[in-house]
Amino acid sequence: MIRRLVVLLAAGAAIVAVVVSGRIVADEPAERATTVAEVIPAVQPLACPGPVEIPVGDIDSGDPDLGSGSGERTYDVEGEGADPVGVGFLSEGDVAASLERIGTGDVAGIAAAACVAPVRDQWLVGGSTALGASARLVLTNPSDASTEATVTLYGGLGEIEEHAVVSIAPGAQQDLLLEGIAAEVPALAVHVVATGAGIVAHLQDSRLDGFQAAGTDWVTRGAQPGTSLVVPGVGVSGEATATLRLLAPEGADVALTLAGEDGAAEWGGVSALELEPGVVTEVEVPAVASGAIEIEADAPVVAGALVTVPREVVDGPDDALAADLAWTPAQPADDGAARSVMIAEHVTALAVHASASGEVAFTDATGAVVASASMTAGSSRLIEVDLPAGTVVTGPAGAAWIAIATDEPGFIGTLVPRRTDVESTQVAVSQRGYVRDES
Amino acid sequence: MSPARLLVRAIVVSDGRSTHLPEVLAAVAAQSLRPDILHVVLGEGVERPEVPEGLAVDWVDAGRTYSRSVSRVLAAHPAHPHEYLWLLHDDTAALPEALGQLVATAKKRTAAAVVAPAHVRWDDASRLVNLGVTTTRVGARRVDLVEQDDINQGQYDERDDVLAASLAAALVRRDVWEAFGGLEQAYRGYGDSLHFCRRAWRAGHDVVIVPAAKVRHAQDGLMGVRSGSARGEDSTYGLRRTGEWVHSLAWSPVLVMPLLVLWSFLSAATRAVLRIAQNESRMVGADLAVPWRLLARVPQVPAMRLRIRRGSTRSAAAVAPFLVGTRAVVSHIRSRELHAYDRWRAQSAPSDMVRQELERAAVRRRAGLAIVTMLAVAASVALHGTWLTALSSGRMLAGEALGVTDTSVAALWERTWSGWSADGFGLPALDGAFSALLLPLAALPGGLRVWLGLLLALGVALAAVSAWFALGAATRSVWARGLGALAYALWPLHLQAVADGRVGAVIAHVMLPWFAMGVARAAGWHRGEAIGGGEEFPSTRTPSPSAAMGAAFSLAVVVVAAPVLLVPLVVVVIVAGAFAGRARWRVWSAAVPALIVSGPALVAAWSAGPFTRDAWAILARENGPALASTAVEPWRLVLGLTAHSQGAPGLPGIPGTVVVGAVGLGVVLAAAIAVASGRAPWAAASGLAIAGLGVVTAVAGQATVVVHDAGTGEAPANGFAGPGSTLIAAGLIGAAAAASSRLWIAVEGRGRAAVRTAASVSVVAMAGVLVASVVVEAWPGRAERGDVHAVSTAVLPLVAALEQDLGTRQRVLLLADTETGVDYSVLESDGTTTVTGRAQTDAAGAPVARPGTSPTTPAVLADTVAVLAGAGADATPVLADWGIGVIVAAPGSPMIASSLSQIPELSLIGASDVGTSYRVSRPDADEPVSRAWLEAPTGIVTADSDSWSGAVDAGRGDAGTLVIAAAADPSWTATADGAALDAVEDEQGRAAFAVPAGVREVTYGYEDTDYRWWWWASVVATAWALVGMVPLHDRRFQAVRR
Repeated sequence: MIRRLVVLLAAGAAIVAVVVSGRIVADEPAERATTVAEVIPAVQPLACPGPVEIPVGDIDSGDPDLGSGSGERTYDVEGEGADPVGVGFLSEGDVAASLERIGTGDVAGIAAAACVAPVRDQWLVGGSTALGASARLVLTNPSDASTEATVTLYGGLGEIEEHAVVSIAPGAQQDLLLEGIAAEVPALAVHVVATGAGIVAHLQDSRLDGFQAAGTDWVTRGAQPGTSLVVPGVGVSGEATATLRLLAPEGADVALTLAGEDGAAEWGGVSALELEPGVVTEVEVPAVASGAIEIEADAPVVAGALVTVPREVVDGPDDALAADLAWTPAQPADDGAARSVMIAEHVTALAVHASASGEVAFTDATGAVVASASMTAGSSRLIEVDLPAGTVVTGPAGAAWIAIATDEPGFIGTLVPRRTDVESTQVAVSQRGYVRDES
Repeated sequence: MSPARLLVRAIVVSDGRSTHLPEVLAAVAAQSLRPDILHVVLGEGVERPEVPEGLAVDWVDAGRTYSRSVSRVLAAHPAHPHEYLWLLHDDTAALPEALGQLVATAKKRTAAAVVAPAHVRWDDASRLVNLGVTTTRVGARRVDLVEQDDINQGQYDERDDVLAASLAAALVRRDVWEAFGGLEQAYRGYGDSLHFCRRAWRAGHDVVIVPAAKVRHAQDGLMGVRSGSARGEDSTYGLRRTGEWVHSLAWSPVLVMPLLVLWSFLSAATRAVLRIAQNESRMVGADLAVPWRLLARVPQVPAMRLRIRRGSTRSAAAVAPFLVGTRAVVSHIRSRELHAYDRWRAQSAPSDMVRQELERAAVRRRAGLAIVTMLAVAASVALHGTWLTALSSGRMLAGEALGVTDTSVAALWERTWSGWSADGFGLPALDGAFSALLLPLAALPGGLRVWLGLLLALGVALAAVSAWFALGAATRSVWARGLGALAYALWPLHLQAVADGRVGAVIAHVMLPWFAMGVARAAGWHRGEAIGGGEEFPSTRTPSPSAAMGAAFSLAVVVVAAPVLLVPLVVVVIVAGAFAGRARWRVWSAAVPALIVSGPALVAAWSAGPFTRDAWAILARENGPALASTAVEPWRLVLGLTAHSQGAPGLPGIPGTVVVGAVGLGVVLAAAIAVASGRAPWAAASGLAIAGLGVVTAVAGQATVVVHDAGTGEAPANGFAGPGSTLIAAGLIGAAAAASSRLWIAVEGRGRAAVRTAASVSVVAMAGVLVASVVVEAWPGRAERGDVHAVSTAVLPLVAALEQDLGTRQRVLLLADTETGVDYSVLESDGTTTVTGRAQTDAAGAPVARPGTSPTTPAVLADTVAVLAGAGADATPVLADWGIGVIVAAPGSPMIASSLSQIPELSLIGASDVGTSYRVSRPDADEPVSRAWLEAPTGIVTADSDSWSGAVDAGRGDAGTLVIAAAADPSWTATADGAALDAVEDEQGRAAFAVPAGVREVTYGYEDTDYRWWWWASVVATAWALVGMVPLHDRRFQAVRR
């Protein structure tokens, strides 16, 4: 009997242990400690890609109207301590730019490029590899260490499988013809990820419409994927057209607003868009004299705008039209940072979008106001300027703007200002044991 | 020349402490030839015994010793010609014919100085006690010429000349006695007869034994009766042994004497170890005291030697034929042991019938073991066969928790010996038991890589075999043992521990059955072999002290591997001891080594609480690999489940809980039936109580954070429920197995068929569950339970790994890209090592060994790493200050690699598929980065270091600072040419010492006195248990040896 009782008592005790121990409160182990540190990268020189190249080469047919090249070619370099790298150059200054005017031939037009510092991750929205178009990616490594850039292309059908991985030696430049990676992509966006101190990427977008030059410009990098962007300088008049190109890496719903001189302008139909992940989407922008596009998205997007200015062809078929084009990348809507640009030849105006009401004043290196306008929040304005080449113009914080270069007979180019303060990046640092994963 | 008349003077000396004196006197009176004179020497105040009628007694007061008492008598009575002394003790009673025969021999052998009788047992005259004595050539071992208790069948009747015989009841020529000055005092009564006889031979006399003359000898002195000891022969062991050594010193060549003293120490140490193995712990002290006692008697030796030399007329060679050599000694010992063994066999020999049954059972048992081993190995191969092939191809197992396993003996040894955990910038360790535990594995050929790999890969098989042996104590049913063993081996949390690389939990699971078996056998609770009719053989089981020591050793291993089990298992030992009757002290002793090994933790827990959560966190600490896991409900632990259980492939309808928990369900069911059946009630109750303890332990363990982020890079983790769950499995399976014992023949009549059918069905069902479990777990494509995998042993690039082993002992900073930044790791060796054991820190990051302090850890490098990641400048001085000489960018981390390549202070030293390495240089010096260095205004001298100590050749002798690139701690010490140096404050929290001018050699090291004491105590306790568990002279032997 006692034995029976002992067994039952033990069984009871075991069950009580199960029930009671359920009440023990568990302490959760803490997460691994992570330090988020601001890293101020070493200041790297700016780099510009150099002159544009004629996609088919400089073919001299004897007839200046039929040759691909041009005898009428000027290439201006503005910036301190220009130091050649490849066909381009480096500059130790805060800002630098190159502007090339080609009077005739396949690449006739103004091709302006603001020099930029290397970054590891950049998006270039622009370019095309459709028939007659050439997209030449110029990768410049201004740093002292070799770097490896991975180029990913996006088109109208989404991310393109073929990637390009390019190693660039210290102080070297490499060209990459994107039509060699993915041909027949009419609307491109290029994602360049580089190691180390990063890379400077410029994309030469050159187009030909039959025998007629259809425009050339440098696509420079725009804002990092963001949910609130502005693309200034999309105002067009006459036959000129403007197109907005958008890409959301992870997909997004975006709302577009066209900011005219007096605030938001009419934009029927497409102001709300749903972007598929990785799919490049193009939207026609209504013609307004001075316009900027405000982009609000629920997920990060990148954007750029293409302005095409057609012109009559001299000494050509009657209905033939030539054109020039200019790419303007998106800028962060209001990151509170002032930007500067190097004024080159032919710069005639500043296209400004103000995010706050008030006086918008542009100064030169000495601090003297060189241009100003009174603007209301969410409006855009084209401010005419006449400044000598080599002037460094600094805009106000809170305004998105570009410098527009124009020349006869309908050439157009844009220079995008850059932040001259050193941007710190955040690095999450944590300790973690190390054993190799694979054998 | 045969004198017609001898005078025999009988002298009985008594200290009054023997009760045999009246009988002795009666025996004298009964002699056929009575002695001529009888003196009885009595101690002061001792009552005179009754004297047999007709016996004339001369009463004399005793001297201080036996010899002096005799001398006192002789001094009072002048010598006669042909006078012989009959030296009687108060416990020697001669048989009636004895004196007559002695005298007869004395008459014939006139050269005999000593004519000695045969000694027989007091209570049985047919059993011999002594029939002459000799010694070895060295003289340090007395060799009896008959075995104790040998039956006298007249086989020794021819014996006459012997080297020596006991002087008790022997006839000794008075002139010789007086010439020798009686007995040597240095012997304290043990060995003096041998000495006397040997002197007699050398002095030209003979020593003769008369086998026909028998004297009953009660051996009161030898047996400790005189000193009132209850320990019998053991009580005089030390004195006897010392006497033997004194003898060897007295008779050896003078130059050999120091060697003999030295030898006595060695011999004592060896014998002490043997005593431990024989579990005669009280004799350890006696043996260890012998050389010291000998040293105390050494001053008396020269005089003895002088007396020998002066009295000798024969050369030493004359007695040489009597001395025995090594072979004779060995055979002497062997026959003694065999004699004891035979007697045990004779006592407990089974009948032929039983023997046949035992043989059949043994065949069944062996077949069962073979099949279980085979199945368990097959299961291991099915689960982790790829590990075995990887191990054979030279790779190692590694994992997030496990770290790398190719750890050297040196690393493990340095960790356990120094008490300095070198991980990160180093921390004072609470204990070094875990690396000591793995040290033997690392020392085997193949190293830790192979043996730890095999331990994990064959974790299932090892657990099955240990459970098989342990279950033998609970049941003799081969089926129950086999199924129980396999269920224990396939316990899901054990599989989880294996897959996670939780070495501690795996070792605990493998060792716990041995502990259980040890306790059961130590208390004598194990079952005998089942023989017909429900009998067991042997019918009563004796508790085994060796088993207790085996349990002690296993428990020590278990608590080192899984400290959380210390409290429950000590409780188990205490309760088991309380029920163990006379074996209680043996059982309780099983907890001692475990408690000593856990000593530092117990002290730390006591001062941290003692009854708080912090204290429990110290007790529940994890020494080896640890990993965070989700805390689960107690019922899941009873089934051995983790938070997520994968279902079976192809059976989507069955939840994973049932699939993985099937083994647990089966075990719980079996235990429930055991309870309901009421069979083996005590065993079943103990099993359930242990399971209950296991539940509480498992839940309390998993609810406690045992690894804190201490800045050394270890991920915080809560305790693993596995060890507690092991206890659950052991308890439930043990209960079920105990109840299953002899179930086959339990019920009579019609019930028997029902029971047998039910048993067969249960066995088949359980076997099916076990097979299905293995199949499900090993199903191809099923997600692995853990992250342990095989990798090449080269984790870091060779250039980096080499720098870690040089005298400069550079650390390696490993950097790897992540999504949002960079991970870093400061590596002391080739990859993160967790198998050396954790230093143990509390929630605030302070080492448990130094509560309240905050040593510098690699956490301070976070900003530096961020600077490196941004290719920023001025990061390297900090690295050099902490002895980091190499930075490695992990393979697949191009971002950090190109950042590093832009930093001009770093120089690329190599790139391979295991990473890209960069050298860090000292900012203003050419000397390489090192673990420790002497900083003087004139330059830097690097030290030759290991992980915890080093030396600098100061050379120029300038004053400066010794900087040790390790976290400062009060236990760091440094000396310059032997003089201790003063510690100085270091801004960065390193250990630093001021070095005065003019010194040549500076050494430093980590010396933690408390740690050292505990370390030695643990080593002694564990070694004691290890030696004691050798089943040498088990209780069954001892039962007949005395």
